[in-house]
Amino acid sequence: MRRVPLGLMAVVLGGGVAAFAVNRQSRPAPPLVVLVAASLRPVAEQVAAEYGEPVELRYGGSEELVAQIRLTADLAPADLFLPADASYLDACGPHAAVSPPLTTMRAVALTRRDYVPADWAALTAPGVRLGIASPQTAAVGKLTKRHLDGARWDALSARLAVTTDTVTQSANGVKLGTLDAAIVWDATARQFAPDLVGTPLPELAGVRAEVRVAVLAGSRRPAAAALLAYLTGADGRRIFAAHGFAPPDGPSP
Amino acid sequence: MRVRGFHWALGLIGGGYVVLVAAMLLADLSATSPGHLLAAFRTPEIRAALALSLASSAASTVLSLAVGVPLGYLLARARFPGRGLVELLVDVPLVLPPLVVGVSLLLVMRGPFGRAVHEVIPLVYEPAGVVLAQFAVCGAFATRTLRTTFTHLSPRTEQVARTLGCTPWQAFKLVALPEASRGVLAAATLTWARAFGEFGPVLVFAGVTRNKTEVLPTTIYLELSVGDLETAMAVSLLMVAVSFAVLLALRRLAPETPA
Repeated sequence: MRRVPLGLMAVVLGGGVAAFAVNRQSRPAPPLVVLVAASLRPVAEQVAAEYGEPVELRYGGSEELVAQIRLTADLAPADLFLPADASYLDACGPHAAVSPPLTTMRAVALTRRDYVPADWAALTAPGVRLGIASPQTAAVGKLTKRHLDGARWDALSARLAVTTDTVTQSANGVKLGTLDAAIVWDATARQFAPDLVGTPLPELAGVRAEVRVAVLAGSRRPAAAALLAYLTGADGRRIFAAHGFAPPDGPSP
Repeated sequence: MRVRGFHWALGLIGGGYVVLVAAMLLADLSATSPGHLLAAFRTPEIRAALALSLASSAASTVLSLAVGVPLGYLLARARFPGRGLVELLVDVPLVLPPLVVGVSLLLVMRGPFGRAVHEVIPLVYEPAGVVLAQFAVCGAFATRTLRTTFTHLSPRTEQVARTLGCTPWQAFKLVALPEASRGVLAAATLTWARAFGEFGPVLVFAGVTRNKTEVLPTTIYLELSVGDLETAMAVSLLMVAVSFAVLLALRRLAPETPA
């Protein structure tokens, strides 16, 4: 049986390890890592394109990203976290810094253009296939449930055709025609325009959420604070507004 | 005539499923347009995701066969203490929810062994992590398929080879493996198809970073997350087209036995 020369194998393996080590040492500084809710991808991509420094965007559902932070903070740390709404920031532990609100979102009824509910009664009428993201997994469901008093939430729950995992899934249901209406954020509704339209209703007027960005406690990069300042500043506001996100406490664009 | 009627009856029963799959494809087609398909293919990020999907699926298929062939053979031929437990363990990835596979991999990487490996080969949120996430599931598919293949092959020819002076390794390499070639190809096909469509473990373990760890299933997830159903369906159809091409090529390697 032919034998592979051990000396040659050692040289090849040793050379490979040495080349790998040199390569690692000579690498440029790694980019800032930002965990971004998948629904905010258009905003984040524009920020990364316009910001002067390299930025690595990791997408996922806000809950999945919270799990990533908790599981891999010391293994593959990220620098900033931009979830779909600020409530997720509480779930992922301490932060080095949290921004003021970047945008405020309001709940609306999302429907096709040919079916716009005149009022709450029309939205929750028998026969209307209504959906909302689950109060257990999404802020729009959680805050709607909190805002409506117990009896009104119970009445709404009884009329729901489905509760979805994310707010975008409800909106996709309306777009596909499997739902007649869904309670979503106004920013989500604008992503689905012009096919679908978001209608504000008095009963949903108090359902509001803020988007904030945080520098994570595990970040060792001073540049993370600079990116947070960029997002909070005029450039960040312009980019959010360009993608249909209202300024904090301002009117919808 | 009786046989023909029997075949018609089977066709009617099984045909419902074929019609369902065809209906899903037609529905996907109706939800997008040639313009969206073209635009998807022209998007650099989606082309990068296609390239990584093809490369990672091929790599995880090779890895799966590399463990599936010896393990499948061992489980089919050898009797050893704890064999039942090994069989159960190998089947675990088949029954675990895909997201749990991803979380379990992350937990493994937090341990001392995982950290040591990650220092040498970065895996978490890295392209190599895509291969590991796919392999963690696909290895089970390959092993199960190959175990069944070796179980159905008679050990007699190997025993004859042994009496003619072959070592166990030679009997395996020169007799059992060539006899199992169709099963190996079936395992490769199944494994590749599963790896190409793998989503949950990849999402959790490798993350979704465009031009880095994004594969086509995560592209679909990203497009659905912003409500772009048309592009999501265009990417789905791209996946179907690529899968057809690869699976047809694999099938040509092992032509059907004539009836």
